[in-house]
Amino acid sequence: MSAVAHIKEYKTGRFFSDDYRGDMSWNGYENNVLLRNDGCDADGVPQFTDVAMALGADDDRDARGMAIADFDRDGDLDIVINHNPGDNDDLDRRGPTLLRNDLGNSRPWFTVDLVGTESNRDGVGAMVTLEATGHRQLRLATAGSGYASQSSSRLHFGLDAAEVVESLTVRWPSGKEEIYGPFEGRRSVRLTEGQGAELIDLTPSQRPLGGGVELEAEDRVGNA
Amino acid sequence: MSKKQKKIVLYTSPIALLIALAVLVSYQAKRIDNEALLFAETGKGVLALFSEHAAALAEGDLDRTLACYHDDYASPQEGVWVEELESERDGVARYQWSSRSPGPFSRDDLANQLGGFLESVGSLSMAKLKLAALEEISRPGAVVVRSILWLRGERGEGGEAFESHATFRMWLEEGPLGWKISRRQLLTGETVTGARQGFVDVAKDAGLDFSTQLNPLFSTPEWNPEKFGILKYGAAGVSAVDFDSDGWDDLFFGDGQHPRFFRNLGDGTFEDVTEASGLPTTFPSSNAGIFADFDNDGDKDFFLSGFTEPSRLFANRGDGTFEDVTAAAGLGRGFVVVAAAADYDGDRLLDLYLGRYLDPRTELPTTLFYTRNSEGNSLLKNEGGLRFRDVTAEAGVREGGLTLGVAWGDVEGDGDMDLYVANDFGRNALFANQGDGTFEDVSTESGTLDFGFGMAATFGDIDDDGDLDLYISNVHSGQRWYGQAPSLSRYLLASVRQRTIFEDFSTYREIFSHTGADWRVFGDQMVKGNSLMLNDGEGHFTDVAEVAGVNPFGWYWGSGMFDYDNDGRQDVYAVNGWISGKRTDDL
Repeated sequence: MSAVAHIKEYKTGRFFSDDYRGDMSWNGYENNVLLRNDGCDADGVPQFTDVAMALGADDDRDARGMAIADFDRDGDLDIVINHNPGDNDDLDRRGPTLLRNDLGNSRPWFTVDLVGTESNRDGVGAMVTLEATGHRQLRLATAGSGYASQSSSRLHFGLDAAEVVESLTVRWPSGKEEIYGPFEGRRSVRLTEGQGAELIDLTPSQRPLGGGVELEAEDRVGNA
Repeated sequence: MSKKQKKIVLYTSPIALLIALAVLVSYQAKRIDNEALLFAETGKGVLALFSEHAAALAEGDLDRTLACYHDDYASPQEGVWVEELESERDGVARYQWSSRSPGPFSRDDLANQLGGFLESVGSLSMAKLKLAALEEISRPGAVVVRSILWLRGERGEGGEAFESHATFRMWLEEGPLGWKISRRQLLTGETVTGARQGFVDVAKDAGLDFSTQLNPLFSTPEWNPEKFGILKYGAAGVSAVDFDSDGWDDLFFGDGQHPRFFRNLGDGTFEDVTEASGLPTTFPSSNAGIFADFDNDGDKDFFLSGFTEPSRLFANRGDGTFEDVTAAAGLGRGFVVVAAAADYDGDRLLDLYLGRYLDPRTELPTTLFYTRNSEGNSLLKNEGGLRFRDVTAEAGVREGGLTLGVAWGDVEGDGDMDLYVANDFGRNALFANQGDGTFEDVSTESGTLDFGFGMAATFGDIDDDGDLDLYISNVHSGQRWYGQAPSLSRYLLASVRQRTIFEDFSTYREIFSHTGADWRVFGDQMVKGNSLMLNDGEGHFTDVAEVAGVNPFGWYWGSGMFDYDNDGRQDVYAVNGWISGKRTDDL
C-alpha cells in the first residue's frame, strides 16, 4: 500500500476511504480453510493439511464470526459462519453459511454437558479430560472465543476407533476434581458438580440438517 | 600551534563535529534511500513478472508462460515435477512434490516440464505466484527470491478438486524485456485433492435465509465516515448456544442493523424468534452475543455488544424469552466489538471482559503496523443480581490495543482463569491471573506478543499434552518481502522527512522496547499469518504455525479448534476475506 511511503497522507484516512478503494476488493473472495490435524511430528509439533477445498468447506464470502455445534445431534460437528456484506451487490454473499458435516460420524464420539453447583452453573472454565485407548484429550468449557463468536456449551470428543471411554476427569472452576467412567462411546452424559454423571438421551434429528426427507432409522447415526 | 594541537582543535570544534555529523547522516540517508529504492523497484519488477506468469498459467498458455523465462534459462539441479501420494483418508488425498531425477535442466526441458504440467491440470480456477522474500540482490538487475506458487482447480477424469502449494528459489535477471526467470529450484510442494464431499451449505434450506447489512450510522456525518468509516466492514459475529435449554443448539447472528435469534426446531431447520424472544429487532451496532447464566438460575442470559450505542443485557425468563435489564446492569459505554465470560475471581458469578476498538470519528490506527489508541477494554465484575462493576483499573487489565479477540483459559494450570487479548494493528497481550483479583501483563515473558493484525483468539489443547494452546487469527499476505529490512528503514526515513516521527515517536519507542533496534523480526511477523502457540504447561508459548502448516494465506477473522472427523485430534477452521468489491481484482 502506498500508505507506507506517504505517511502524512495515511494520517488523513484517505487510504481507508471507499473512494480510494473504488470498485476493487481488499482481500475479498478469499476461501476459508479447514486445517486437518494429522498428529504430531517427532518434535511434538502437530502437522496440518488444508482440506477445505477437497471437502467442500471453502466458502469465499467475507466471513467474520464462526461457531461450532452439532445442530442435528448426529454425532459430528457442524459449522456456522456469519458474513459482512462487503461492497458488492450480490445478496447471496450476505446470507449465513451452515455447513452440515456429512463425514465425521463414521467414527464414534462422546459428548459432555456440565452443570456447576459450587462453580458457576454453566461450568465455564471447567477442564474435561477424556481417556480412551490410553489417549487423552482435553476440552475447555468457554463462553465466547474466536472473533465475536460463541460455540456450543456441549463438549464434543471424537473417539477415532475407540468404542469405550475409559475415564472422564473434570476439574471444575471451584477446584473440585471428579473422575467418572467407563462409558460406552456414541453416548452423551451430563455431569453435575458433586452429584455425579447421568446418561442423557440426545436423539438425533429425524430429518437431515437443512430439512428434507425423513431419514431411515439405519441412516440416523445419533444415540442408539 | 603544533600540528598535533591543530588537529585536536579541529576534532573537538563543535561546528566541525556538527558538519561531520550532517555529512554522515546525509550519507547514511542516501545509502538507505538507494538501498530501499533498489529493493522496492526490484520487488515491483519481480511482482509484475509473477503476475504475468500466474495469469499465463491460469490461461493454460504454454508460450505465454515460457515467455516469463530467460532465453538462456539453465538450472543445475531440476527435473520434471512428480507427485507422490503421502496419505489418503475420508476421500482426501495428499501428495508431496519432488523433481524426478534432477540434473542439468535447459529451456527445452523447462518447456517439457511446464507443458506436461499444464496438460495434467484440467482447469485452473485460481493461480497465484507470491513473492515471499527477496533473498539476495546480487547486483542491480539480478536477484534471488523465494516464491510460492498457489493453484486451485480441477483435474483428472472425474474433475476432482485440487489445490497445490509449491515453494521455489528463483534466480531472476532484468533485461531489455523486463525481468525473466533464469534459474529455478523446487524446495517443497504439496497437492491436496478431493471430491468436495464432506460438508454442504444448507443455510437456506435450514431456514437461515437473510441478508446481513452494514451499520448505516457509520455512513452518517455524525460518525465522520471520512476518517475511519472502513470500520463498517467489521461486523458480524455468531453464537451457537442452546438459549432455551431444550437440548438443541440455537443461533444468534450479529448484524449492522438487525440482530437475529433463530431457534433450532430439532428437525433440521430453524425459526426466526427474534421478536418473539424479546430481542430488539433493530439495533444498528451488534456484533458479539454472549449467552451465559449470569445469575445462576439455570438458564442462559444474554449480553449483546454495542458499538455505536451502549451494549445491552437481557435476563432469560426461563421460557425462551428475554427481558431487557440494561438500565441497572452497568455495562458502560459502546465501542465494543468482542466479549467473553468467565469467573475470574472464584465467586461463582460469571464476569465479562469486553474488547473495544477505536473511535472511528476521531481516530485512525496510529501507524499501519502498531497502534494503541483504542477506546480501552473493560473487565466487568459480576456483583450479582445481573449488575456489573467496571474493575479494569484495580484488576490491572487495562489494554489499549484495537481488540478483535478475547479468550479466557487457565494457561499455567494453577486453577484460575487467565486472559488473552488479540489486537489488530500491533501486539497481543496475555494477562496472568494472580489469584487475588488482579492480573499481571506477561505478554513478553510468555512469548505471546504475536506482532501482527490479531483478529481472533481461541484456547484449546491441540497437541493433546494436557495444557491449553492458543490459535490466533492474523493476516498473511504471502508477500512478506514488504516487511524486510530495507522497507522498514525506508519507512523510518520517510517518517523523519514527513515529520510524522514526532507524533509517532512513542509508538516507535514501544516497538523498540519489544524488539530492540532490529525491526526485521517485527517486520517478518507482521504479515506471517495465523499463529499456533504451543504451551509448555507453565504458560510459556512457542509459535509453531510455520512448521505446523497452520498459517495459510488470507485475511483471517473467526477461527477455532474442533474435531470435525472424530479422529480424536482437534482440527482448525478459520474463515477469511475482508472486503469483496464489485470487481474481484484485489489490492
